[in-house]
Amino acid sequence: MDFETEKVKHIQAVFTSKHHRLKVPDSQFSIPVSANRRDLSSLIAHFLEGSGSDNDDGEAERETEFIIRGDLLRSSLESHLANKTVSSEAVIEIEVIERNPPPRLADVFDHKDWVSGVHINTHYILTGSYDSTVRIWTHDGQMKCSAEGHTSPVKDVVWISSDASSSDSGRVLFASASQDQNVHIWSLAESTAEPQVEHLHTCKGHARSVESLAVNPSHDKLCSVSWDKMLKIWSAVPDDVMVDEVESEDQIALKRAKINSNQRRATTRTPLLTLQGHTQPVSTVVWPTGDEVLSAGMDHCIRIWDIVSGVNKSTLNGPKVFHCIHHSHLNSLVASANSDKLVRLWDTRAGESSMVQSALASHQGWVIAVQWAPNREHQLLSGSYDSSLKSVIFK
Amino acid sequence: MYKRQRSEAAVSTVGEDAKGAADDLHIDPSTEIRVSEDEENLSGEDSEFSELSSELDTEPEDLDPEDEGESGEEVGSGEEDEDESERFAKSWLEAEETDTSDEEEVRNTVGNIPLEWYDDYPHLGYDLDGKTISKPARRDELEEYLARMEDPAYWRTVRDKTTGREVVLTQQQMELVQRLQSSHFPEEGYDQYEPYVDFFSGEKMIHPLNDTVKPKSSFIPSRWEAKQVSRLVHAIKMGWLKPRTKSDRPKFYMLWGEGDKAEVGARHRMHIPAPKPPLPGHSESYNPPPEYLPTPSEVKQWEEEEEGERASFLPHKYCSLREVPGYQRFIQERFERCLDLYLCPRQRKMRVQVDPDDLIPKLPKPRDLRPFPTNETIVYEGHSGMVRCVDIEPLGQWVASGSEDGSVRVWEILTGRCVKTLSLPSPPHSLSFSPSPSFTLLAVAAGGVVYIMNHGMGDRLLVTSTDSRMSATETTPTAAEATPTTTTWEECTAAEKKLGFRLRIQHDMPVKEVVWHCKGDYLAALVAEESNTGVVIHQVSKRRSQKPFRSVKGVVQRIKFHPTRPLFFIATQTMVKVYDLAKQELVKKLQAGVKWISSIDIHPGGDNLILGGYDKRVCWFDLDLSSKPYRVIRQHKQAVRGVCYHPRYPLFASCSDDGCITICHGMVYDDLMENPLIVPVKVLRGHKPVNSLGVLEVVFHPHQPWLISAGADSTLRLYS
Repeated sequence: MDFETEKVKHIQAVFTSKHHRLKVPDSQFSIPVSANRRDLSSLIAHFLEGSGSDNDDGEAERETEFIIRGDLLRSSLESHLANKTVSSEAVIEIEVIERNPPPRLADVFDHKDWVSGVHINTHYILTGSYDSTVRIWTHDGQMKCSAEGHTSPVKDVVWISSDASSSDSGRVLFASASQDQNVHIWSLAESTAEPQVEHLHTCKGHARSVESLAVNPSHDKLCSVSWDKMLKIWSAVPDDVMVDEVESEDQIALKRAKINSNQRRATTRTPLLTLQGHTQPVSTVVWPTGDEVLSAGMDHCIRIWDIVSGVNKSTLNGPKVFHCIHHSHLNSLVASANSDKLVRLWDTRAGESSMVQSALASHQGWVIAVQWAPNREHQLLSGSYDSSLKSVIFK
Repeated sequence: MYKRQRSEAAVSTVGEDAKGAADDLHIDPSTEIRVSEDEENLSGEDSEFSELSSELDTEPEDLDPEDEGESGEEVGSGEEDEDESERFAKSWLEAEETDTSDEEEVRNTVGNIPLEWYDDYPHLGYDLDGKTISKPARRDELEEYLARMEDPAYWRTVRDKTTGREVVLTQQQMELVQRLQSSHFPEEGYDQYEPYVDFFSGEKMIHPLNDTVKPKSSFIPSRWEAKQVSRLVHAIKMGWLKPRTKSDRPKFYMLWGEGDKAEVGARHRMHIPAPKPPLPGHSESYNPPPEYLPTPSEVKQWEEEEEGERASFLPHKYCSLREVPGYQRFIQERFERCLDLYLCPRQRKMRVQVDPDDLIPKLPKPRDLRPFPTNETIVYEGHSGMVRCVDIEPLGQWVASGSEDGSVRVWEILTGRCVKTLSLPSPPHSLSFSPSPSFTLLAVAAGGVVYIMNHGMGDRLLVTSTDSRMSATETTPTAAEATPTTTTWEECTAAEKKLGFRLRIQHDMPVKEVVWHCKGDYLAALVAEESNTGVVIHQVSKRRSQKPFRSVKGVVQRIKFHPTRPLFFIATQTMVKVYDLAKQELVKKLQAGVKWISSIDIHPGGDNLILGGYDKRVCWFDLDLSSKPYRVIRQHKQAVRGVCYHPRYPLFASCSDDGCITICHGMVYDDLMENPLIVPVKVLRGHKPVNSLGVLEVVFHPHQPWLISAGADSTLRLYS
């Protein structure tokens, strides 16, 4: 072993692991207290190599993390044990877990201006930008097409139907919200060789810039929130779907030619429902279940709306302005990004009495966006004005 | 007689030599005597009695009649007396059988006096015959040692202090001593719980002790006493005799009164102790260590210096104290001291004993007064010159700033995005969003022009309706001849209109400040004139201007509309004047506590006002309370540039040239009897002073506890 020196203080440690791939040695190790995570990791890697259990190069390079008394080892053993007030004479049990590699930058999508919204489906990435355009990118970073129609910066974009196969006539719908007070519903036709973006509807009704959009789970309604303190529910079903279902190819081509010749043909929509109740501008909305919408904004509260009756069911009061909330369908918690350094977790099922479940502090500036991982219950992504994006796994 | 002798008998003391004996243990001779069998029946009472009798000089008349019998028996018979003395002598002989010498008869007659008095004499006192008792020769150490080694009775040999002789204690005496030491009765076998024989019982006996007939006087009232009583009663009746009142005059008092004493006491109280001079150090020594001695250059320098400035003396070395000369400056210093005493004011400084902590008002802790801005969150960068003015749109989405580089920028507050940049021919001095919810207007004062522009940032419908209203007023005849002012209203050119400018109001002099009335129709502009500054009020809907204040005394610094009432505030250099616009009269004059007002703001409630001054002070006025500042806050190190109230939260802020912004909690209560609570809660830093200019203006967000500041470092900063 590398660090067996006589001068340094040593502690006795035993490694354990619940991971079947990490076959850690059973024997007791004497480890200098100055060792940090990297040293321990190299020790484990050395042992794994030596044991010959894994000859893969990738496996050998695998980094490990260590949990001592319920906390991840972040500093040297000495300071960690001092923090935990563990005697350095006892035999310490160290749990070895696999280290999640930090995500690497895969591709850069160049925009001319600030990107204000992004949404991904199985094929494409939808982005909205401050140059008033909505762009569609493939997953490997090529711009497929752009949709221009807004007159002010786009604030949010959302896919209405998540997949082309799920919707009829081989097209995907998406919506964009802008500071020009409108929500546009677009369709992306994939059937032709070159993807075509068609402006289907303009949803008019908001009196200030529209900040955020949410689609209901059955993909037929759209909720938008705005600086005019309102929530508006729009139908997200295109008008022609119902009518033109059995049109011939020629008619469709004719129609498309017509549309291409005049993009302004998009019809105007009025809201199905307007929800009024926020006392200050609303900044964010999520639609977790079919008849429940959660919105939050600058009046420091999350409001839960019943869409069927159109009433504000309950209100959760927070201490700061909400910039973003996101609901996890796995653990039913709502994560919120507030105008401070914390990510707060709320349990909306508890009703009005619900308190902040926990607050995660690691950012240096305002947290501006949060998102739950779609398939991991305890993973959360948060973005902040300190130019950092943090992925949090909590238990 | 023998009792007397007994009481006067020498007190023999058990000396130190006695084994384990206490010091100066007095053995009463009577107890010794009682050791003999004949007197064993004598009780403890008797010994007390004997002492008593010795005191009373054995006079049987003084004794109680009850005792008479017994004592009479004892004293009366002379035979018994002789018997006693014989027995006494016999007992002594018995006690000192071993003592061969017959000098035990020697008795010291000096009485009960300390025998130390005889320490300096060769004798110890006088015996019964009046002869001196000479001190026996003491044994030296060797003899003492030999005696200790050889004499078997050495350990019970004690020295009689009165005679100086050595007495060997008998076995009985030893036992007595041991009994006394162990706190037992001196008499062996004494039963203190012996049944008491009640000689004088309360029961009436058939044979009384005294059977004499009682005299008559013992059972009839005394006539003499009756006479005395009747005399006293008569005297009281006649008022001759009065109840004795206790006089409060002390038994002893100063014959010549108390006045002198009071004066002396006062003088004592007024005593001013002389200041304590410091103790002399090494340099004052007559023989100082060499490092304290001045070098020749230092001496020369000392001699060159002025008398008052230099040190009072130079250390000098003398090889002995004898050679130290008299102090040269003695007379002078005495004179100065006398002069000091003569001239010193005989007035004691009144010192108040107050705990300094008590003087600090009890204020709530800042963390209980949240929310207030605490951190710098967003920095809005883009201006190339210092940002002079800043204002936030009434809904709180946009902020406009005017900079020295001649541009007005509009920013999105939440993201820090600059959405609009407008260039003006001259740098804007002041800008203000129209507070009306139905207009999307922004007034910008740049040079001599006030631009009214439609910023186009709010609701599209409002923007268009504002434009249509503006063009509607265009058609109405502008009563230019009706306005006595030198202002002209002009439509903007088409190119300017594209940028959003709608109207130009041309003034003949530069406009320093522009403020909107709360309704959004009237606009007041502060115009710098040659002599003083003029206030012009414009009406946007009718495109009219008027100068309601003919002559304002002093240079006007800032102007402000009252948020609810038709009042107008004009701040000159040292004064704030409040005018009623409806009645057109001066309502109030506020004496600012500052030398030069830089900025004012009015509480949204309308009854309070803050102003900042270039002399680093911020003053809070309660308009109902007084024309003097209610509170002066000295938090800044440099000139205060701007002050503002929060429209909703009980907060106010002041910014200064040191780059700091001070946030204070300023709670105004609805109860008129309660004074506003002002607590400084936070100092925000971030702006760097440029050319000794720091933060030029601050403004609070309309509905969040956020603050946006405009700094000379060409940035705006959002604190949340």
